[in-house]
Amino acid sequence: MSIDIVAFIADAIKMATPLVFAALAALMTRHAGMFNMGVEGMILCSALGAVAGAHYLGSVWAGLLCGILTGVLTGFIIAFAHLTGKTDLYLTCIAFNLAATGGTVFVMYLLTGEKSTTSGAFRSYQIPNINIPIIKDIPILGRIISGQSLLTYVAVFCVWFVWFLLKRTRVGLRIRSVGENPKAAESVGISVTQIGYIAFLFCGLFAGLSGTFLSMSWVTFFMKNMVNGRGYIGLSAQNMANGSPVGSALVSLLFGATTSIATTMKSQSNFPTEFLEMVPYLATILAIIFTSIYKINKKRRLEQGIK
Amino acid sequence: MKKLSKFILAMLLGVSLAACGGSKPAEEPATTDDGKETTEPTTEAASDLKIAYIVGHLGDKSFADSGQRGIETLTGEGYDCKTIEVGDDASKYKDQINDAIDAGYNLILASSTYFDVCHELSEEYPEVKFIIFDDSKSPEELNDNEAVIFYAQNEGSYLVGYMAAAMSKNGTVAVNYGMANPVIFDFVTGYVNGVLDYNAENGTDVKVVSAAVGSWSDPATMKTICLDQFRNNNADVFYQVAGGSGDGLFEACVENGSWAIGVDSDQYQAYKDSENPEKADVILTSMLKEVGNSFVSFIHSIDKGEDVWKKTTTLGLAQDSVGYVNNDYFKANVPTEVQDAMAQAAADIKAGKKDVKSYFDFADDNEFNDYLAQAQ
Repeated sequence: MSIDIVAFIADAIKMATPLVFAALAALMTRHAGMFNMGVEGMILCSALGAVAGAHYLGSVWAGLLCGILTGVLTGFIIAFAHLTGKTDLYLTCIAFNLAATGGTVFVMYLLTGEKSTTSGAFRSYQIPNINIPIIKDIPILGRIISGQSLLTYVAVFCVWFVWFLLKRTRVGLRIRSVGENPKAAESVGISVTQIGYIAFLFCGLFAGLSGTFLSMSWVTFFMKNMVNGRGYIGLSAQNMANGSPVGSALVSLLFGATTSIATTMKSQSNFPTEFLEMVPYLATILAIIFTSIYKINKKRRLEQGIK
Repeated sequence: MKKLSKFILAMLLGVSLAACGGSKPAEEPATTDDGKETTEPTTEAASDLKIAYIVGHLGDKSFADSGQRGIETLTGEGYDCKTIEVGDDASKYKDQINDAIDAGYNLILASSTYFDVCHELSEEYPEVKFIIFDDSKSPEELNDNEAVIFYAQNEGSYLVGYMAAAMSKNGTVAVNYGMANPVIFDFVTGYVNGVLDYNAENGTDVKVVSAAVGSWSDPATMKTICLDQFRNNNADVFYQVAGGSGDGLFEACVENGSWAIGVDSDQYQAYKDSENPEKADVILTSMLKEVGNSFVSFIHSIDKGEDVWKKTTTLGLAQDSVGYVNNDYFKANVPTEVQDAMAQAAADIKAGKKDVKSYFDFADDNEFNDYLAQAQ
């Protein structure tokens, strides 16, 4: 037995991809002042929307589009309830996640007569993996950077895109101003509701990509409950990174790596499985504690400096 | 405008509620059809058996659905049967089974998941019979109106383990399961036993690698585990005992061109009949656990007046309750001498000439781990 470290790193990047999208989704609404726990349910719905779209329209790209549209639509539902209907966001998100757990099974049952998975009822489509011409021949780096799913490269682009959107565009500035002080933003004529919808639009887009990656790239079918908490991990990733797109991606990568370690250890060691399953979540808690301590210390130093 | 948005919001809420409730339509207690029927005094005559089959969810294409086929056969024979999907919420199990009893069902057929609930109810309702399948209990743990069916999954797993060892080119085979529990470990034990016996007979040194997914519905993790075992251990025959997660194992086998072994029902046929028939071509055979058949034969034996109560009945190869799929694809791809050896081993086990190791033989988990270590 010899553990293939290069493949292990490539795996970590693959496992991080849905988390990066989930983190970006949560990050968009966070900057508009809304902590959107509904990301988990939105990803689940998108995963089903993607495979259903691909099956009925007969194309992998139609599936990708349907996945994104489902994400946007589910985002709109939460946004409508919260922004127009003035419901409490946390309760709406909890209700939405519960509804998504049952609702996806219900829709799957209506479409296919199956209650567990679409692996038999829907034709499988896979988003292609991309081999980058010259890079793929570089010894170690080639195996890590090349040959990933198209959506993994899209994720890298999206990290830059979100940074650009928030820091360099007028919409981004408005989103941030609404998030920081809605009353002040309103006083200068920015519609808080409208900006909230825009934030949810992008949130839905990224949640859709996350779900599509799960059901059309990692595996090629939908299964009930297949998100398995990845939306929540993405949510905490962006929280740890304090809403920074690049930081969120790096934290997601950390989770990807710990999950990858746990998965490899399951076969390669005699550690109890239950302990290994705890590792990614334990890493999350530890990381949250450490970032929190760091923030508190920084604040204290600042206050001492002022005095 | 405000009115309109309120109306739409109300509609949305309505739809989401409908979606919530709709996903588990069969969770509604069984009282609607039969609620008004009075409970007739129970006698042991055939026609008086009213059977309630308790299951989490149908549609798993294996364990629960196999049981459902048995229930359909029994219904065809004139038994009054009802299937109740109780869902995943353990706090609601007791109420739903209670409802079934109130509706006049006097024979509760439930898997090991529901043993604790059924055991409690069996004391409350001595006139109702409880059959717990897929479990192993000693008589002291049971009441007079309880019977337990145990499947010798180790015997079926032994045969596919033997085949896996014979089919492996790289000298490593894998068995991956959803979550750790005694029944699942019994599968693993039989599989390892099969591999070890193949090694002993042929002087080979085939290794077994195994891992738990940690969920019955996480195919993504299962796929990663299998690809990892292929890469790091050179495993090239994969046996899944993982429910829904098992679909991830088949995808991994498609991706790296290795063999897979299905479980519970004929998964080759299930994929051949599906929208993705090419995925079937990695499945050499499936280890069968004929839950449905066992229901039919067990109910018949009760009707004949056999005493099955307050004990565990083991159903294995000899009762045709476990086995492996012997289809054309299997015959075309597995060498004849391996097929013959498997048939011979099956005959020996049936005749009692060969003993297969069972997880329930081990005193504790350390002994089980030591046994697994022999093949690592």
